[in-house]
Amino acid sequence: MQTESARSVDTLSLCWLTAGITLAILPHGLRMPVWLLPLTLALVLWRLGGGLKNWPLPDGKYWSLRILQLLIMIGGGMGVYISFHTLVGREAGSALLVLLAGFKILETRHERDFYIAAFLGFFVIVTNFFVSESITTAIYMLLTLLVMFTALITFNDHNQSLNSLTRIKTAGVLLLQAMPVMLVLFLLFPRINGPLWGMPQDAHAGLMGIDDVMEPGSISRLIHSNEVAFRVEFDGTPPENPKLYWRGPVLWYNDGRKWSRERVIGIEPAPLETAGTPVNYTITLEPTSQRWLFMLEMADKAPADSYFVNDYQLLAQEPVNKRIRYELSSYPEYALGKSNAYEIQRALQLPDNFHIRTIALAQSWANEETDAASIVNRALRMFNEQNFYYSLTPPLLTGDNVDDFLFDTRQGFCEHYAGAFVVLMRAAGIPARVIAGYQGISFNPVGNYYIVYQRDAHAWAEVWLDGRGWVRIDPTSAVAPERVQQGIAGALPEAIIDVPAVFGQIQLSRNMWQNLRNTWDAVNNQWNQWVISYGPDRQALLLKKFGMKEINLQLLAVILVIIAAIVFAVITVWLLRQYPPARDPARQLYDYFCRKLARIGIRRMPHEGPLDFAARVARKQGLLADIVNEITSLYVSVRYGSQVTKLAALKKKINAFQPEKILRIKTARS
Amino acid sequence: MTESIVLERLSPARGDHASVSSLIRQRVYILPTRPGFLLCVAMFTMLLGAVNYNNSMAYILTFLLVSVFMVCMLHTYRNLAGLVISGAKVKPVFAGEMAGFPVIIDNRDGTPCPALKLVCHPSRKAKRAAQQSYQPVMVNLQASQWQQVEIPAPTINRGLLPLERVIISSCFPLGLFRAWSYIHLEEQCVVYPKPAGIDQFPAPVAAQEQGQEGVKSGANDFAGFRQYHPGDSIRNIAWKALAREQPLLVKRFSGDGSHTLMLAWEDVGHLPDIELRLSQLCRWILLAENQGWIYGLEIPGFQIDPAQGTLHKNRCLEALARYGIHHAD
Repeated sequence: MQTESARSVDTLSLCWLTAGITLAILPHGLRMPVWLLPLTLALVLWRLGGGLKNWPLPDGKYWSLRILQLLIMIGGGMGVYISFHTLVGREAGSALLVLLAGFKILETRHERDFYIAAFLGFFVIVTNFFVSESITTAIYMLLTLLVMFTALITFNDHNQSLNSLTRIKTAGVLLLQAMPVMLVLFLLFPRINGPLWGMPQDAHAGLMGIDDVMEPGSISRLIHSNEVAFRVEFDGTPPENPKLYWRGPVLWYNDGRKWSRERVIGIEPAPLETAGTPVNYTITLEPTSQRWLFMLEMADKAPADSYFVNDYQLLAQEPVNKRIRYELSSYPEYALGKSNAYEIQRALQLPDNFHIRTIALAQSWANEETDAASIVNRALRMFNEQNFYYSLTPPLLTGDNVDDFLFDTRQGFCEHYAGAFVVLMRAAGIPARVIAGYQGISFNPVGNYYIVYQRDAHAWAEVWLDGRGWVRIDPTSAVAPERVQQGIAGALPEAIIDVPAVFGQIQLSRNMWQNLRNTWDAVNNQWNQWVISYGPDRQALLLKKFGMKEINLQLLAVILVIIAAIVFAVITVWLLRQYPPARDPARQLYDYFCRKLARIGIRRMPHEGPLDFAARVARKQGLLADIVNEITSLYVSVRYGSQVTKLAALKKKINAFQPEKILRIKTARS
Repeated sequence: MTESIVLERLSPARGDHASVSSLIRQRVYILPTRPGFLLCVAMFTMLLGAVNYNNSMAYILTFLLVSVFMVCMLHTYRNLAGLVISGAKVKPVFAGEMAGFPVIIDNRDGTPCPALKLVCHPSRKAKRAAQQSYQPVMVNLQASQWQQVEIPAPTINRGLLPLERVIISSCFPLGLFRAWSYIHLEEQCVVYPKPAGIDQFPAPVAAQEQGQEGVKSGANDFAGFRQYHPGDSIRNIAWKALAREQPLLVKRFSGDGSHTLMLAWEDVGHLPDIELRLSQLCRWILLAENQGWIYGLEIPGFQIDPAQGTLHKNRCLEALARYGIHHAD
């Protein structure tokens, strides 16, 4: 290795580099403190101004600017610390990296700085993936990478002998040629489970979904979300919509304002009696950072690394921080058996000094009705017959939210109805609890699977009836049966389901839009399954297809090296294949000319020079003498003189040269 | 042009270059550059991050960089591999001037080879002796294009300066690898002695009677301008032309054409050093040619009858350059 002499960075390369790094930084900007992105861009702009407009830069010449730079650096670091209360971890680390990239650009003068800045850019790209791994992010980052490579190519093309398009093309060619080896490495690189040294605390922040606390508004805020909660593949046909209750957290405790899970959870699951034929299905759950797994009511066996607790929640051993897949079989016909007395006691809990009017109402029912079932029916009848409304935008509840809802506003979403219903039941002496989860599915015909969106979030109730155990009661269905019959799409105004207004009311365009969405989700699903979720399990599955049963890391490493070497060898041979030496275009034309002459029986001898040959042609076929001499002298002057000016003329002449025709015409004339 | 060197590809050539006579194959070497090694460290860090977070896209980016790194190696190698390199006639220079060794680089591939760097790579001794640095030459070759460049090398002593080995290198496209090859072209530059000494000619040949006046009459008739060469008399410089911002010109004079000089070894016998003698002779030859003398040269091992003209002058100067040097060619 020989050290190259320090070369300063030209402005064009610098522009490409800053473009690439800016592209890499921009997505971070939306997640970072507001001051960070403008500050970083200002640093980048400062350097660009130095290159393009000769602005003073902080270097040896301007000590005051160097001090300013140092102050900004310290200030930036402190800003990051104040914003995140730490300098490590995913978010703060990314912020520091973004800042660092900005400063590196600012001080880029020489070759070494240029490369370091470019490599910092690669790191910034990687940190983007810790936040989003979607297809759009991948494409965006690939473009960013293309710009970065163009910057490197521009820098290495010292005299800018290539135009921008060629440089971009070269970068693209490099990326394309790199794909096969990348693919082999990605598929076969031995994957191991779990982190090497642990994840920072904030590795899984900001996920949206069902929470284990329910209060007015906690579910209706999900209604505008078109994000996927999970995807389901059924073996056979799925049950009808009214049976599609996806059980999530079970909420026992009411503090007067909100519902939450019990802290003490019995680990002995309640006895489950099942009947009929089970439904088999596989769920691909998006990360929730929570432990519960959703299941169709009611599954009998917990999948690997998960278990049932006494209220029949399915809990995973670890919080779901990555997309996971699990298989279940559920029985739509079931009886969740008798519970123990402790549970019943807990299912009667009510907060002191809350819901006074509601409790009074329920107690009056309890006096009038004889059995629990008729009290349940009475409550459902009230929702159904009195003027209760199912509304996405219920009025804000300021006082006691159950009393106000039941007696004043009477407009609510599923969490209002489920919450009020359970309070009513408990006040009437019937054990009851709230179940949060999802209700309904959407079919994706493109991918032939079903999607449960966040907007399918739902809450319902379970009451404990003597001899029947826990029975599901969905008070929302008493108000808005279409919610349960047709899913959320049937109950919502159409504007909520995200068909853009431009598609208007025309059915065809609406269908097209739906089709597009389905295709996009199907592509995303494949992407999730094969790219994002590709880990030890998927790798084992893939290797099994090729007959490798036992996954041995050493063996895998050897196979990886061998296959990567073969692929790389193929690329090498293809890239370094010997092109036939580019033949002289004039010579090619002349050969063509000779072939034309050979057609009329005059063949050029290998030893014959062009001029000799022309003389012989003239002797043999005097009629051709003029044109042959003309072409030959043109050829000679092109071949041994200037190529560019006369080549076109030679081409035109030789293409137009038709010895047979000339002979015919001239013979006829004479 | 004596011979051509073709930089080797991985696969043995299938006689495609048969058209080039006397081909010498030369190996191409390749190693990562400092940024290349730095990227390796960066990629390893990224891989650790990818494993720790089990993040597929981080894996993909890392592996993409790894394979771009590998493919980049092929591209850098291909920049050099397959180039056909040959020399051309070297123009003589005076000692102390920069010699320029012409090198013809022929890219017969369909892909451009930008930023080829050629630099003279002399032995340590020559490097120390030449106090100037060897300047690299950058060449950009388009697809199927050839170019001639001159590789500069400083000269110190008169004589024959062989072209030391030349390094041709390329870091294109990403600067992560440097491919290089050594070119040995059997070229040598004739280095004339540096003109020095006095302007006063030795006595003209006795046979010419008007000799004494010849020196003067040499400055008689103005015969036009020509470019300044080292050794030209300052008296003959066209100062007025210089004042008009024209290049340095000297006035040419033609005398009667009958004054003849025989520059001989004895005329410089009084000088202590051989090199000084050769420098004096050199100066006289330039002056004589300049002033229109008919002159001959007689030094041990070389003799040429009086004559005139650039060709004659060059033969005389070359004889001075080669004085006392045993050479094979």
